[in-house]
Amino acid sequence: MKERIKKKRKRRMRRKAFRLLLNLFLIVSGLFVVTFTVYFFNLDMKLTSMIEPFLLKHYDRIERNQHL
Amino acid sequence: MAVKKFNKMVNPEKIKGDTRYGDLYKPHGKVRNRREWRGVKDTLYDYYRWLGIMMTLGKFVAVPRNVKAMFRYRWMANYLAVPMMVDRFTQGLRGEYLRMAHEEQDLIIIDVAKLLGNLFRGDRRIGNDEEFSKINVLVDENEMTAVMMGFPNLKSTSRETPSTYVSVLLNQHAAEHYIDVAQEFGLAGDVCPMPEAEAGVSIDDDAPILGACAIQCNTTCDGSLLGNGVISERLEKEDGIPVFQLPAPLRHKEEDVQDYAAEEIRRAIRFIEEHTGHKWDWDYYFECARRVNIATRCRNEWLDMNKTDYPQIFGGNLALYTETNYMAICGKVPEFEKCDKKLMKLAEKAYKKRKMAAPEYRHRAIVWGVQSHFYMDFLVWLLNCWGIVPLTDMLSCINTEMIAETDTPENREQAYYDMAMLTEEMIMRNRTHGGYKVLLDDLFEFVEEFNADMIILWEHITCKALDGMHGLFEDKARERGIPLIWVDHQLFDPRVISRQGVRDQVNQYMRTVMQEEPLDPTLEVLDDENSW
Repeated sequence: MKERIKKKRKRRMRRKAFRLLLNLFLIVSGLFVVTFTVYFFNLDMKLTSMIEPFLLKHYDRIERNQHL
Repeated sequence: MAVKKFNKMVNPEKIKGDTRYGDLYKPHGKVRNRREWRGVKDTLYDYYRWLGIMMTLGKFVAVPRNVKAMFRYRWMANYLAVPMMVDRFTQGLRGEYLRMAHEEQDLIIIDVAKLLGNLFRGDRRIGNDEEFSKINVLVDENEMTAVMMGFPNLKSTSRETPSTYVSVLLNQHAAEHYIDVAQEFGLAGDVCPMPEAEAGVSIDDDAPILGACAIQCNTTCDGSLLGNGVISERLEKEDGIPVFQLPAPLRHKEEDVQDYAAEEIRRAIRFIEEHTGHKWDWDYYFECARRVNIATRCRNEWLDMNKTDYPQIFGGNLALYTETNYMAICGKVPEFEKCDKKLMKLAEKAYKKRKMAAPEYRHRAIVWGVQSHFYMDFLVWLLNCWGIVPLTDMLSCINTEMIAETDTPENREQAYYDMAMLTEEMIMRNRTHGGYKVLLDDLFEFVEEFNADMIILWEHITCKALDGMHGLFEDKARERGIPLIWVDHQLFDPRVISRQGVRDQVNQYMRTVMQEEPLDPTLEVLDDENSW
């Protein structure tokens, strides 16, 4: 009886560990796919290049103490 | 006189991945369609280094005052383009060459991020950390920071480096606004746009305000005096930051000026001590001197390798790193010593395997003159488009001598002369001043030493120092039968001569005079006028 309980516990722990590893693998793979897609298709630079015009308009509105 | 020829070398290894680099460009686009495919191994390596750059940038924007600075200073917008700068300088690189480029560039990015962090922490407009501001000594962008080698607890902080110098590397259009501002306020338009842009930043009230004192120098040229005058006026009269002018002798090769040069170094050090309350530390100085010597030894070895058939650290990998390490770092940052050693290892490994960085080496070139700063990756383009190997450039031909690195009474005296020598041998200045020997004769000595068969001569059209020698360069090149390609540009301003204008000068020469076809025809004409 005790042996059976021990075996059941071991099996449960192995299943938990397996599920944890599988989840970790899926998260890491998912992160890799997303980041590699951003990297390879240059999505980071495409995004920041869209931000630049807004920033430039903002700078034009700042009051400045311009003089020689 | 017969034209000197070089027997082209064909790379026995096939270049993996993309080889038509022009296809990555989007017509009239700011950024590229996609990043380069370099084969599985090198693409994954480049991706891994990109993640590292993202982390560096992420850490930077996680600090709220840095974000505040992003919204205050116009030049900060250019830092959106950091990853693209790395992509431009690594175009076509594989294996050890790609790894060398990343070792250098990623370290430079980390160092500039630290510089920005320091600037904004002490800036009265942003972080306003007064105690931190007091340990900052402002140095102008052309300042050889040797005078800071003995102050371990002070920061040598340059405002011009991140606002103009690095900005133009990131974005070819970065300096245009400031050049226009300077001209609106009456500064001449036919001067060097580098000091003009720096003056423009000051006039436009777009420079951080911090520091216990400032050191300005007359390097690289009299153009700096123009900009420095405008900047120091504001620093002293408005910001209350005292400024010391460190004038290096123009005839720097003459023995009779060295005592004066050393005395100016002593005066600069006394000025810093007086205004910061920190004392010169000889232990720290000689530690930095040791690192300067390591950097010099490494650079000398790389240049010796470049004299052989298998150059390893050349072009963009040599130019950008040398400028940063020699001038801005000057032995003060231990990470650069580690980087020197890593680069040495990579270079030796590639050299042993007789590696080549392109499908063909058709010409060996010395690149001379002041580079077009908005198109410094031109050196990579030369290799990829025409198979021209840029063995060395003028800005990398700097001090080759060791300085005293052991603490003795005689060496303490010698140290002032060493610091003076380093200041005189500042990049660019060591050639544009000092007489025709260092500018003209030395070029042709390097052509012989490096077994070069071509000269690419940058002609910065507002650089009076070089323009005056135009005819002499042509005469000498003709005498020796060396093809000399003039490449005109306006340093910081692509509106005068665009990147395609720069390329066309080489394209036309290579097609009409050399009667050659490009290695990669897709790179010959690129619609990148709008690009970062």
